[in-house]
Amino acid sequence: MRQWRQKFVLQVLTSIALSVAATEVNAQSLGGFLDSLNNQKAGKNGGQSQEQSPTQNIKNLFGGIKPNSDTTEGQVKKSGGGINLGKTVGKVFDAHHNTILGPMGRYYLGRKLSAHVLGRYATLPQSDSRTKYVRSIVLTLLSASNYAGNHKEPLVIILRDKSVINAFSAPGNFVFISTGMLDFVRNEDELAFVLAHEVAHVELDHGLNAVKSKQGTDLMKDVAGNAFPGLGGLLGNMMGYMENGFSADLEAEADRRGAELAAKAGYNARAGVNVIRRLEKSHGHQHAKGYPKDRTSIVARVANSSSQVPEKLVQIRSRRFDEIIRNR
Amino acid sequence: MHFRVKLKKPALLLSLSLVMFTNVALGFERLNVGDRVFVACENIFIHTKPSVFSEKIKTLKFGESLNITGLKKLFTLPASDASSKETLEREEEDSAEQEEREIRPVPSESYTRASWLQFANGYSPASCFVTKQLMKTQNPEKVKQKVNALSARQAKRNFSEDEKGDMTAMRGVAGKAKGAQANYEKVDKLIEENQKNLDTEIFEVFRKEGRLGEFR
Repeated sequence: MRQWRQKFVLQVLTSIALSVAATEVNAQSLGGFLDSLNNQKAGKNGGQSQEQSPTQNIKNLFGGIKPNSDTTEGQVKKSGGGINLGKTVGKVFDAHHNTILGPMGRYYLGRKLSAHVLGRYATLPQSDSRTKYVRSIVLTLLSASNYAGNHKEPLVIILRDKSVINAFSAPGNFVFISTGMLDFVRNEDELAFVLAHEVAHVELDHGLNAVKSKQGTDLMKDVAGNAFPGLGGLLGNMMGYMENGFSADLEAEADRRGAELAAKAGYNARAGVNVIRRLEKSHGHQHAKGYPKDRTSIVARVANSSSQVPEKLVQIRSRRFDEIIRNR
Repeated sequence: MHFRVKLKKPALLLSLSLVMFTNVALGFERLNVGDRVFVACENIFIHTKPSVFSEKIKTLKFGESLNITGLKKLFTLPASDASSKETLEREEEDSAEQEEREIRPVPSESYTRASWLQFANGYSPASCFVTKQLMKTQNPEKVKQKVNALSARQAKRNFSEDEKGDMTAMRGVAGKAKGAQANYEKVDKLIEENQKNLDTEIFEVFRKEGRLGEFR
């Protein structure tokens, strides 16, 4: 029992040390922690200070710890299945550090992603009445969100492709919609739901979470592949969750939040139910792996708890939708 | 000196996963009353009320610092956030079980954030403010390095993976990604055009006609 407790305390301390060091909120204390590491190193080196990156410091900190190995002074005796913990922890810290981007970082990530998209598609100019119209809807939705401020103004891009019925978004508030999707939706309220779903992805930081999850999966695979062959259980479950279940969860969250944003902005959230039903028929569930099975009920629940939007208002908005999108 | 450490494999993985997924509110940094925060947006204002539709009384400059006097429009973090109520409660349950103690309630401050911050002279959206530590990274060179590092792991495998890795950050993309060169010139041109086509009066008419936003 005592032995178990000692192991447990050691594991908890390791977790705490790593978690505290990784926490952005505590980044200043991490600085102090790392400074003290530097000072210790400087002391050992006769007062010479060495400037090193935080990741390098962490690698140094854990560099000598190798599970399943007996470490004696000046001699390392490796046993089978040992891993370089310092290197692995360093990778984790690198991955973590790179996903803390702030408003400017998100914007540059979105710009990079958008550059890839624009390499494949022709677009409508920003001065086009359709772009201005869609942009007004996005700005109205954003004003209802918890993400009212961006590093630069949100960018709405209409992709010239009638064969694709799609909309997507990137961090930093880059929102894309295809002309195929503009043809597919029947009125402004339906269009607003499609855009609200994308704004929700941005607001909830799903893009960066997806990258982070992917990195987490890769790192876990590295660790498992190199050091823990045949390990199932914990790792298998974790990877299964990250690789298969996560995406559907995020889509469900974006549907729910999108419906909320549409309703908060003044749109009829029920329009989302209609557009999802038609999309599911149209796409024949080809994206079923990434989307939840009960999308319509998620949106319907939000619509039922929101205040009723008079049909007259939906008609007013439909008229301008027809004028700008349909009558061209 | 002898130094011997043995960690159970699952425990090691758990430790690493904790670093990756614990206490990291990616979208919403936790800010408190009394904190000194920095402006990380280019086009941001102090408003008379916590609403983008309220009167703008001051333009804030990138890098400017302010002291938080209040938190407005608090919201609960989504379940997908690493600091969500669900995640924190799960962690607390695990800790309590391992430490053989009673489960403690998770304080609401841990999983709620403010969408607007109050300052001495008005309000501004919280999503534009960062701590001093994060502000140090808010320059184009540093963020580009970080962004490039995000796809570097993918790029090591094969050429097309770079783009695939990038696409992971976008949701809702249909079909397979076709290979093409990134067009930064075009995206920068659209960003520039976008700034020219901002018209607050037209936007207000849009909301008023459609009974949206403050006119709903």
